[in-house]
Amino acid sequence: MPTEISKKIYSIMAREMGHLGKFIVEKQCKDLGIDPEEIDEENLDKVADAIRNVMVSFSGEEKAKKIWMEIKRLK
Amino acid sequence: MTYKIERYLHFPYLSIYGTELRDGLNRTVIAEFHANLSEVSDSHGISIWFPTYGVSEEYREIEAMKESGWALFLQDYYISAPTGRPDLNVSLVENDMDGDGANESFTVHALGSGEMGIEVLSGRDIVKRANGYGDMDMVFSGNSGYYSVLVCSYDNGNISNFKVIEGIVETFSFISGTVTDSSGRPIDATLVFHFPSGNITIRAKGGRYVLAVKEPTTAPYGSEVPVDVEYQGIVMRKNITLSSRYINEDFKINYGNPAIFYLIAAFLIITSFFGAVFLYDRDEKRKRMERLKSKPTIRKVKKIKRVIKVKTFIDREKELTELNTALRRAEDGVGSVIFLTGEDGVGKKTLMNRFRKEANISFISYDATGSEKRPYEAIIKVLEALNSLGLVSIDIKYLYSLPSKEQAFSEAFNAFAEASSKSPLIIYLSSSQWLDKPSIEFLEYLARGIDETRIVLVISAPQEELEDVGGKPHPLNELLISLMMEGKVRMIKLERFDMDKTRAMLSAILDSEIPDDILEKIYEETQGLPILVEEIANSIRRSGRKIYEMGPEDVEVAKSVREMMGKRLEKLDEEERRLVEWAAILGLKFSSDIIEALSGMGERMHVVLHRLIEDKILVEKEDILKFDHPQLRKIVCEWIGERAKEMHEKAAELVESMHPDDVFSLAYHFCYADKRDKCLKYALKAAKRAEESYSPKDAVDYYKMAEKSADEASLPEIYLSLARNFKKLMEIEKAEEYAKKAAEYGGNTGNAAHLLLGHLYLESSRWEEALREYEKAVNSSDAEQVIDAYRGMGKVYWRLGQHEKAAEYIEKAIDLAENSKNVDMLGISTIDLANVYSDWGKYEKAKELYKYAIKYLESVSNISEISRAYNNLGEVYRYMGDLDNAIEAYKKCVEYAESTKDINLIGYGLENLGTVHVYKGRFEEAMDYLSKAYRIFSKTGDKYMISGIYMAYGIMYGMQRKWEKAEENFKKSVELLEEIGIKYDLGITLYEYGKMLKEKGDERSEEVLRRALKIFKEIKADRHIKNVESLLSEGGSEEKNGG
Repeated sequence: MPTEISKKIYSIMAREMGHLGKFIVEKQCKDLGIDPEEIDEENLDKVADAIRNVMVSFSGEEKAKKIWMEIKRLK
Repeated sequence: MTYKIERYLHFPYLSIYGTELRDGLNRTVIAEFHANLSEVSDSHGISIWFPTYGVSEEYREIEAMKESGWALFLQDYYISAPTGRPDLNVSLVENDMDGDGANESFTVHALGSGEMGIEVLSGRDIVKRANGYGDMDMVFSGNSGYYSVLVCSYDNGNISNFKVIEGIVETFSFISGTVTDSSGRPIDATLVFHFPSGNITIRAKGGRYVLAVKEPTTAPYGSEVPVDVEYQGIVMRKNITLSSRYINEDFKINYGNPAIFYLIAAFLIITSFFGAVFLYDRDEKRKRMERLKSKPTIRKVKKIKRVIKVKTFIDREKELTELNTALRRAEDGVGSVIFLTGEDGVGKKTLMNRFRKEANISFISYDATGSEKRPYEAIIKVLEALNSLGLVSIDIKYLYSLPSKEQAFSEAFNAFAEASSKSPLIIYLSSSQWLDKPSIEFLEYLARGIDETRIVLVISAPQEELEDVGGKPHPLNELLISLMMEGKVRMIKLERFDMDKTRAMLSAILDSEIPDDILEKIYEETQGLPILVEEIANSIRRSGRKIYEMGPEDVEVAKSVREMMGKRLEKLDEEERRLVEWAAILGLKFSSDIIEALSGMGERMHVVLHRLIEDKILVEKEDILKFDHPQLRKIVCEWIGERAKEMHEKAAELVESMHPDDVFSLAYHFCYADKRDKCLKYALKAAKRAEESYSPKDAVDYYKMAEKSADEASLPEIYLSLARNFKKLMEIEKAEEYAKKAAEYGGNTGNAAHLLLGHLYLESSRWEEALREYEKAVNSSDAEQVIDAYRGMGKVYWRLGQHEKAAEYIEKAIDLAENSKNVDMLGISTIDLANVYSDWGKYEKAKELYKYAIKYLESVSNISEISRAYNNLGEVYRYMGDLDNAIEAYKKCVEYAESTKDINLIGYGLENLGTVHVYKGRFEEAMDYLSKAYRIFSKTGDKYMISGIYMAYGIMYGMQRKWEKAEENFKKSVELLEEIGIKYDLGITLYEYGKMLKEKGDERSEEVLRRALKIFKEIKADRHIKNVESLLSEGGSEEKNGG
């Protein structure tokens, strides 16, 4: 069962990126060695930063920051 | 950036350096202005990174540049803005810059020391050049355009510095002024300048506006340009004349004064030319509405404003800026990919139309429908368009004739690059969710090399339609994810309109201000989706009712596009319905000749067709008809219901007589008509054609169509073909399932299926099952199959390290090839045997066999296999420590591969050349070869080969005792091999990694080597087990001697 935080991150990313969102979360978590189903308060910052990094080049600083802040607020 | 530097190197003195620099640039991933990087203290000039692998964001890559020696050449050179280095003083003096666009003249004054040169360039062409000493002037005259000036000085024949100034001769007209209301108060109005090349919209902030108009792209000098000034729903039109370079034009808009409204309205009725001025005052709106109702002449005003009515493009400035940025990058020689997304009806096409008009350069678009009749349809259509524009000359049939997909991709890529070589090119692929997989594969190839072209590739699709397919990501999603991770794609997402933008759109279509209550009603129902807003506005317009005569309850709002589409269709008469039904049967796109014949309406069909186009049911483009919206076709298909079968039959018969070669359409219609014989016949033909054009996915679809109509006799072949195509798609489980079905039928098809199963198991390291299947396949009466089966068995034993047995089976294959005089197979099997001896350590024997193989293959001109033999011969020399001969053999491999344009083999040869140069300690050459190989494999997406390149870099940095970089590369190699699951090579990389750590004195070496050992034991790679064990027990010697 995914953690509440994982569920919310998936939901934010799905809203912003549609079906791509899920893959972005999975790939970033994989690179960080984090199970995407087990994102918690401790590793949330790392995941948020990684997502922001990849989103900057894809959809611009503005959107990347918006997503980043939304994820960070899940703490 | 890289292009820019290259472009400036035209001086004869620079030719030698230029060649070297170009080679260097081939290895360069990024050259970057420091000015953009706040963390770099010196914000002048550029850094050029010479990375050892792929794109990286780490600054320490600059270290690699230092090592390479390039720094010596580059450190003195700055590319700077005009205020750059003080030791080379350049100034420009305008002589005749009157802005008329003709013979603009200026003097370049360069103050330096010693020998100097000045060069003026237009794009990449040198238009004027002068050499001199110290303080020199050069006068340049030219018509308006985009120029750059390069100035350099020499020191003993070498360039000591150079400087570039860009865009200095561009001529502009400046139009400026103020916008005020009737009382003279400045207002924030919007101004739309209607230039022939497209519209430019600007805001007059605080009443002031300034527009710099680039000549001659916007309007001819001296011409008149209409300007619409809009404020609070009031629009005023005025023509201005581009009479001089500096134009001052003030606008006064009659806002808030009803008396003037009537005067101007009357004026407009008389003139009928200059557009209308509407008064809008919230406080007085209702009162005015009443007055308007009682004054019918006002309706004439509405007729006047046709110009405004068709303009429904509403503020997408941010998105347009993004697209224009991509275009500017393309102008500088760096193409890019943009993913344009947003739900259906949000305005993606409208945005692109606006971009096209503003960009005014080559623009090719393709709208995918999902009912394309052949693989790569989108790519072929774009290439055909490029041909017809004269941008390239490429024979599509030639592409299909190439022996491999990679070669065809490489040639097609070159055509795209060539088409954009002179000026940027925009390629817009809309509804890309419907693109076939082969086309997406090519797009990936194109995207990976797009920064070498001047193409802006816009791939558009609604995100919500990129759902997973059969548990796998949508192919377009896969492409986007992969490009996104490499930073090679940028997304533009269009959102729905807010209330203000909805009002602006309604107002533009209805030529009227919109009462708040009606706006709120429409916004509530449409939620700002532009297509719905537009549809409602148009339906009001078509009804002939006036918006100010309506209340919210009168606004008929459909709940969805589908309902709206349904409403459009409801209005059709009997004839129109009949024609539209035939259109639906033919697919989303079709040609008019077929529908004319099917409808049986004769000449009258054109009249009806014209009505359908007018009613926006169908659209026509270049003789191809299509539905205006896919939903329209869907609804019509539902009407047709069970009659579809009969209609497909009629369509099939007609297509058969008119276009007998269109096997894809024939398969589609005959199968839907349930005509089993012909469905089988054409589906098989279509599948074979798909196979010929490297489209296993389409081949699978058609073979599955055929399967449904097949009799017992045809089933085994169909199953076997499905298995082969699933194997190509790497869908191993399905390949196995169908191969097993085919095998059950026995006979030669059954034997071929056993052979295929053998190959499947061999590739999955399932040795025993592979041997069992190969043993069954040797019973075939087809000699070539038997040879292949013996080769397979040989390969199993080879991989198991049982060299004697491996050689025994491959020799059987060789004997059989000799007896059946199959020289091709003789050559190929001899390479296999040589591989075994090479792995066995019997290098002399292996060398001899490779040479025999080359002779056999030369006699049948099998160039690809000759190239492979040379590559493997190079390997033997390498193992023997004879690196010079290894290099010669690898070079031969590349030479042969180049003659057949087999880019994979070219890549293999280059990678091996790189590795050998690593062992020789010639690191600069090694990096050159490896980076060339990397460029090839990153385009083809060959992770296996990329992992090998990383390993070679790891070894190289290890030899240089650059431990950190070595480890980084080994880790990347390991990660890739783990991802693709190739154990043998994973073991080798871990072994090399562990060896490096051991040399470094890092205690983690034991852990890494034990991982390697575990893998080699799993796959029973005895020789490598020995190597690892001897390294683990300290002082171990290596069997392989790489130099």
